[in-house]
Amino acid sequence: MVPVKAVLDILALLAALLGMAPLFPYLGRMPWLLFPAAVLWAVVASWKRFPPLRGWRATVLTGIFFLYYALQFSRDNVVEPAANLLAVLLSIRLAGEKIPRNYLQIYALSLFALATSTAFTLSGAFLVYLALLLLTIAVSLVLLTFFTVDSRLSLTRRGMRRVASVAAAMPAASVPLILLFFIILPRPQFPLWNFLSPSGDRTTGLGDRVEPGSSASVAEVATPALRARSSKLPRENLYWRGVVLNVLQGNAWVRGDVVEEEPRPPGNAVLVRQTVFPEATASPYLVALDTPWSMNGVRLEKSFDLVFRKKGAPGGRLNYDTASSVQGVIRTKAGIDREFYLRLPERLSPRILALGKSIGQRGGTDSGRLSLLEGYFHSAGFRYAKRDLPRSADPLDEFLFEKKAGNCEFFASSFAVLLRAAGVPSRLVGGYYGGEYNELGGYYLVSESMAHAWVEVFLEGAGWVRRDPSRFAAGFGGEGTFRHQGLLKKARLMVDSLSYFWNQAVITYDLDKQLRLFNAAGSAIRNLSFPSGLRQFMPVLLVAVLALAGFLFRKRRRWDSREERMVRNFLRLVARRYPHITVTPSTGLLELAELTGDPHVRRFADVRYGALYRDRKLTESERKLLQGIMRDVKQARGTSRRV
Amino acid sequence: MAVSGFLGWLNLRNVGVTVIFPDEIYDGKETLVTIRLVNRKPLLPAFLLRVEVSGREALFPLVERAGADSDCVMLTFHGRGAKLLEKATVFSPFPINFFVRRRSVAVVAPFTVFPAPRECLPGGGAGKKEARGEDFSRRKGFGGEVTAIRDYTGSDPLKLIHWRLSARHGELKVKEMAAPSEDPLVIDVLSLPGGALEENLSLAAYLVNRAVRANRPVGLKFGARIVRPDLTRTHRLRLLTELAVYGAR
Repeated sequence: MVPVKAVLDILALLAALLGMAPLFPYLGRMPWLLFPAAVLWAVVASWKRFPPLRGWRATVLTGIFFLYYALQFSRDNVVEPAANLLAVLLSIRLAGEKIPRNYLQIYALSLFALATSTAFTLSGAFLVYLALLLLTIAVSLVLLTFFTVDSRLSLTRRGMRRVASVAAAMPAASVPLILLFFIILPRPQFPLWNFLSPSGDRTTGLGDRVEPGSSASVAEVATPALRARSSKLPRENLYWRGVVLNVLQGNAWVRGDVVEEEPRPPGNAVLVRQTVFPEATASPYLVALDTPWSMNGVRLEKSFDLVFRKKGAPGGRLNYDTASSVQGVIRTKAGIDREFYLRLPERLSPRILALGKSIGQRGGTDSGRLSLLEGYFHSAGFRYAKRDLPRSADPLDEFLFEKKAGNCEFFASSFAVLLRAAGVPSRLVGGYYGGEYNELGGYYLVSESMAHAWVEVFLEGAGWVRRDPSRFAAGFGGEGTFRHQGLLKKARLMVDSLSYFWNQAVITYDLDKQLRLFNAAGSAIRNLSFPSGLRQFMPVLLVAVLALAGFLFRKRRRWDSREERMVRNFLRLVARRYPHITVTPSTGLLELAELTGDPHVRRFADVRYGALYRDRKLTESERKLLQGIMRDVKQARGTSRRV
Repeated sequence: MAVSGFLGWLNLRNVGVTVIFPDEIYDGKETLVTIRLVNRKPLLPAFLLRVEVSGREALFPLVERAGADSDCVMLTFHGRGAKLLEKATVFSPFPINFFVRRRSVAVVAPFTVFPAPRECLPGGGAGKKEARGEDFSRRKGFGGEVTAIRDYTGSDPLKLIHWRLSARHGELKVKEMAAPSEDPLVIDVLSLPGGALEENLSLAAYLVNRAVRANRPVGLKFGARIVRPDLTRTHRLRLLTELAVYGAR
């Protein structure tokens, strides 16, 4: 025998763990310590049968914590105190006395905790936690019902399995309903809970500053940056344009005011169309495949250097459709402000300046100078590195002439500086390079570790031409892909496609999609077409279906048993005959006979139970007899009324 | 909510209740009644069903599919007579303790409530045994007079051997003795000293039980109608039933 309470205790712990797990990393120190302690206490206490924390002590503790966190609430700080308070309340409940109400509170708090975790992180894993938590709570609620009826109830192992399996079938059975409601329930145009998400929650993402030498190494962050639904493209086209940096301040490239230079659309060149699903980020720049010409689906600002900036607050889930040409050239309608794109900082290493000048003199034309510089990068023996980067006062100088190793920032930065020194207009582009194509989902996954910087060079007659100096480095070949290979990579991609579908189907499901779905369904019904032969048979088929339905209905009525109907009619008759007696459908016939003292009723009851008790149907003569009694009652009623 | 409602509805479907009454139920006395719940669902067990019969509940935490389980409740019935339990209410908070769903189930179990026995002195009034005379039954026993002497058969108890006669005849002789007995008693229900009819019926019920326990054949007399005396258990139940249903038809 298994005591129901023991199973309930285990499930309550499980529910609490499932609800808290995704929230745990974001908790303050106190709940961070308190929750594991409470879990441990709960385990030990139920093992050793310690007296639980009960009554006023738990209430006072709850009150103190509530006050403590309530004081921290403010308009800008809602989520963190709420999360901490939830964790503390859950801890107190776990350590406390287990009565049905407290169990229910544990389930509710666990659900709230899980829901609160979405204010910090939104990933496909949420779905897994939610599914498990709902399953646990469903089984717990059913067991709790047993516990409420009898707190010392025990079930056999087999019985417990039965209860658990039927209880677990409940959430499974409700999945179709959940899906239905998800699709049809009205959805607001704007997210309701946005104020809960702190705006600066993610610091990764595209910055508008590239400063080589600011750190000794580049962190390998494998978190996704964006996903783009797209056909598969050649690797060399996978440049994802984010932001253009056109001013060099000291060692840092930043974004200055864009000088008007309207680009000329690519004409009849083939455009690649994609839908981009960026991860939530603090960056306002909308990333798209280089070179993006148009972007739809989000309110944005487009600058002439084809940088797209989201309007309104950054962050939040969104997606947009893009159209890009992949030649890597931006032609302009008029010329450009050459002086602006040739500007160099006051302090520049003399060695760099000298190298640039020499290239400028030897090159003759801009394209000649570009080829000379490319030749220099090709032959100087540069190496691609992410660690042990140059960090001296003049990192570019150190990179070019001493270490000869660095990451994309060094390559792009020094390449652009040298071009400007040589008199060729240039600018830096920040974005991503590469991406893993997910065959299952049909999209590219681009992670933060693929962040990249390259150079655009202005060549008279051609326009802005993309050049990636990192390509000249040894060891660059592996960039823009995931490190893992084989099975691990496959698993990673598989998990990621789940996350992708979750984003696409659930998180970005909005009113617009809802309306589109209804329209599609509506037109599908309107345009429902049958083979011509079937159309002629439609009326016949319809009649047949109706006839079958009618037949089944009648049959069902008959199954309902003529006898039962007879009894119901009789009860109605008696009720009218004796208005002072309350007759309900559940009134027994004998009871009625006693109440009314009417021999008709008594006779009716005797005949009816005579058959029912012998487990047989009424014979034809008995039925006639009963009908006779009913007639008599009716007549008696008539006379009594006349009198 | 919809799913749990459906499950609750399903849980109460296809269950049958039978109630098994003991042979003797007395008016106003607690009686142990067995409630048997049959789960006729082919696939699902029945969970957490409570069955209410005449105001008392029995709990069935789990009844396997196509299985049955029994539980006992103490019930008290008021008013003598032939009765019929027509229905029982089956209810359950399953699956989630939000609503209690209930359904009444036809039971159709007839039973008879006997009048509550009320003590009274046996007929003939108070008096000495001698005054009332003494009688012996025709059955053999140990306590009465010697009725015959016969040869020892080998299976007789030693204490019945008549030693003096045995010595005289040269072979073992045994005494045959009669069991002490009392007169068959016929109770004239209507002339008992209770006063009201119900009182008399209660007194009669007591007398019937007492007489049978005292090994005395007992019968009943209602005015002109007489139920002949006898001593068996079925006879006793028949007498009690007569008392219970008297005047009902």
